[in-house]
Amino acid sequence: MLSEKEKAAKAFRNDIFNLLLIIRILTNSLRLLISAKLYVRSRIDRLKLTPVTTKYSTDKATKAKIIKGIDSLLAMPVLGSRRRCFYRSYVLFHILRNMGLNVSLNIGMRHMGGNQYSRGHCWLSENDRTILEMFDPLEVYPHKLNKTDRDINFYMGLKEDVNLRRHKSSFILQEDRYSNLFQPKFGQEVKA
Amino acid sequence: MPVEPDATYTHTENITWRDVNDEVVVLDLKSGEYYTMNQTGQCIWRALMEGKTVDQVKDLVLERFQVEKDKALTDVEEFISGMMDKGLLYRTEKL
Repeated sequence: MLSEKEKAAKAFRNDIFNLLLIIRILTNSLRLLISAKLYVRSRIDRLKLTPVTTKYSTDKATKAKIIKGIDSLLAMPVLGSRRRCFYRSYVLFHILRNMGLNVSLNIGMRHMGGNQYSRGHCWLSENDRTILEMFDPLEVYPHKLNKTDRDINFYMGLKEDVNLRRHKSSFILQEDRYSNLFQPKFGQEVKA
Repeated sequence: MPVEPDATYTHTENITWRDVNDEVVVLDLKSGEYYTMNQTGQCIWRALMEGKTVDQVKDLVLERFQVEKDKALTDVEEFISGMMDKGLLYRTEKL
């Protein structure tokens, strides 16, 4: 049995560890974001995709809080609106992989018909399950074109349709999409 | 590089393509670029992927679309040259 003093010391050590981890993840996120903005841009072949590791190992609740925090930061308008989903997915892809989740990067494109411009979206999935999205992009990008050996999936979307803008089935993914990320699935414990 | 009448072409290794909503979608897996094409382009692409020669593709375009013979040939040649410039097509060797 730990004494109150030992418990407090352990909690303090944990807090310091988590604080350092958050600083490390934030620094890495910033580095990834800058490299994506300056170097990768829209060149998929320039993407450096990290393997699944346990580099950012901590308890599930802290992981969920970190992802939520990073996601909120990435949603800030200061980052610009063009390709925001790509930069968000790219940064979160790296963080989640380093937290032990085998996530894939998904890219969907659809054109608006005629000479109109194309639209696209980038999102993450884990074992073909869309994660961290309010709406399932597979409703708009249902045709899977290919999966590369670099864990990038390409999808083709439907042409512009008023119903698509409204997300006709209103399929909303888990409201608590951050904490659910690290819950065990199908009876298996997610490696921390 | 000139496009010869008896030549056949196929897509490069880093390319995948599919019919989606009656439309040909070509994806460059390396760069992540998507290509869609008009009706004539789709007809030419499908025919080339079936292993048809440039001459056969031209005949097919003539049959399906109401165009002059010269125009059909120019369209096919321009399509192939454009796709080769983008690194999507290459000429297959004769056996």
